[in-house]
Amino acid sequence: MESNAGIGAGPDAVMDMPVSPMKRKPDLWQPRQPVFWLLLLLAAFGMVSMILSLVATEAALEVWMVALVAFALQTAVLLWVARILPRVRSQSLSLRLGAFLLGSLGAIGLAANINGEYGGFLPAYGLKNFQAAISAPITEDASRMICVIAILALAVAARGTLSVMDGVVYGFLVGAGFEVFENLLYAMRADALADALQSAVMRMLMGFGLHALWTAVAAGALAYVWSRVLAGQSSRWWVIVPAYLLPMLLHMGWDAPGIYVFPLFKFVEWILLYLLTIGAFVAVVRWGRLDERRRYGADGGGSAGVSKAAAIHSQTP
Amino acid sequence: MEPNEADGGGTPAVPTDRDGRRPQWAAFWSMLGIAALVIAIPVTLGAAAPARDADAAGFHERVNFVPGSESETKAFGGFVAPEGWIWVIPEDSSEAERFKQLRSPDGASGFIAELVTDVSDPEAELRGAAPAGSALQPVVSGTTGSGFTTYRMQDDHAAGDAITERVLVCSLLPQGHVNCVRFVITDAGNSNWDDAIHGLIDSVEVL
Repeated sequence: MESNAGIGAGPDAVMDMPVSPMKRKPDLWQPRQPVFWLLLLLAAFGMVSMILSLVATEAALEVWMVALVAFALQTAVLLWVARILPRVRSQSLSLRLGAFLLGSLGAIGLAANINGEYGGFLPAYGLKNFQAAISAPITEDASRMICVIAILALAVAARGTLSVMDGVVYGFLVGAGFEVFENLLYAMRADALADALQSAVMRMLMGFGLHALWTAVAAGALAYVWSRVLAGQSSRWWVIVPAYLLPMLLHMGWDAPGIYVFPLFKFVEWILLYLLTIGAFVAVVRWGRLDERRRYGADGGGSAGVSKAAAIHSQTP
Repeated sequence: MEPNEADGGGTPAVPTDRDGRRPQWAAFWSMLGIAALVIAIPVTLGAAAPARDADAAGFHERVNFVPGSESETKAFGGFVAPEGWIWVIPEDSSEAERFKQLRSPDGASGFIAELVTDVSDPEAELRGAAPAGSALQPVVSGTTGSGFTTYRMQDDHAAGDAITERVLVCSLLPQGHVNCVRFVITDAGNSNWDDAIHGLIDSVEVL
């Protein structure tokens, strides 16, 4: 495996990074990992798909401007949230960026291409009103999980360990990338400046960050199971089931047509679903923080749990 | 927070598991497996899809009326279209917004629905829209499962062969006037569709 340092190192890194005779490569760059090439393939496919989608919108310049400003604003907010999630140990910078880019290109490219297929046959089952509620939770959540698996696999390969918080942060970023690009596409489809503004504002006010929050919940559970396997413990694989199904069901409820004709009721539904989402997210973040304290100690120095093994490894050249 | 990034600075990344450096084949195959599954689901369901009229109403297909901009009364109204009934789309798009028309799969029954706003006397409204000969027919009032008031009147000009039922489902507004959804149901005596019509009327919401 390549050594790690240098590229992407921030100011903190300058102060805290151990002196190393070798220049280290980013954790994201792991050509020996088959997952790395699959990740590249997915990103390339998504990039082509997204470029074609953006070009197809034939949006006016002012629509482009509004969409890009909203994109930048949403990206900044979500990246900041991802940054403040861990308390003890932050995640790899290159993997964080990779998660965001993979979510914004790979996950959305894959989901966008498959989602459309559902429109072709759901009316035959009498479910044309439920197309979004059925297709989106299946394809979008699965597409994001594919990306999460790729990033977590590279994290494991780089560090040999994984924490619940790794899953939460990388999952959040995959979902964040997905969300900001989806919002960008919605804004770009506007015919006029006012429509683009409305789309940008509405997408920030109503359910902002949902994809990121949902993916963080499922990814946190996945990282938990994975970390137990790495530590040689029983996997407790079943933890993934509710953690994956709950965001799917919330997503389904969000996209489902309103139960009542009055728009006010749909708003009430959305508020309840958002509160449930926030509740699930807060729970998984707390779980992640407890887990990282247990693993690395309050100061990140490693005084308990897995860090015992880390201490052994740190003595090996 | 203690930064701990191999490429972002901080505490060195210390592997706790020597296997971590091995190729992550399980992750690789999991990714491919999930991708294959996600692609296979719509392909399989699409191949197995039953034949169905493209204009047939779907499961729990909610139909909402959009009040015209010229309307002074803010009103919401809608109903759940009977599943499997066939949409009859008027050529005029403004008509399509105002009137919602469906017919039963066998073509025997059908209905046209419309949102009627600011109604002061539902019974008079019902009689006013009925043929002159049926003006003396009784109006039966009742309540839907959701608590909306119904007014029903039947007319039959073909000795039992062509019963038309007119139904108003109205909201309970405090100011005296009401908003209603009006249905004109043709061949209402056809018992094959009693359940569908009953469900239709029961599904109405209006405010």
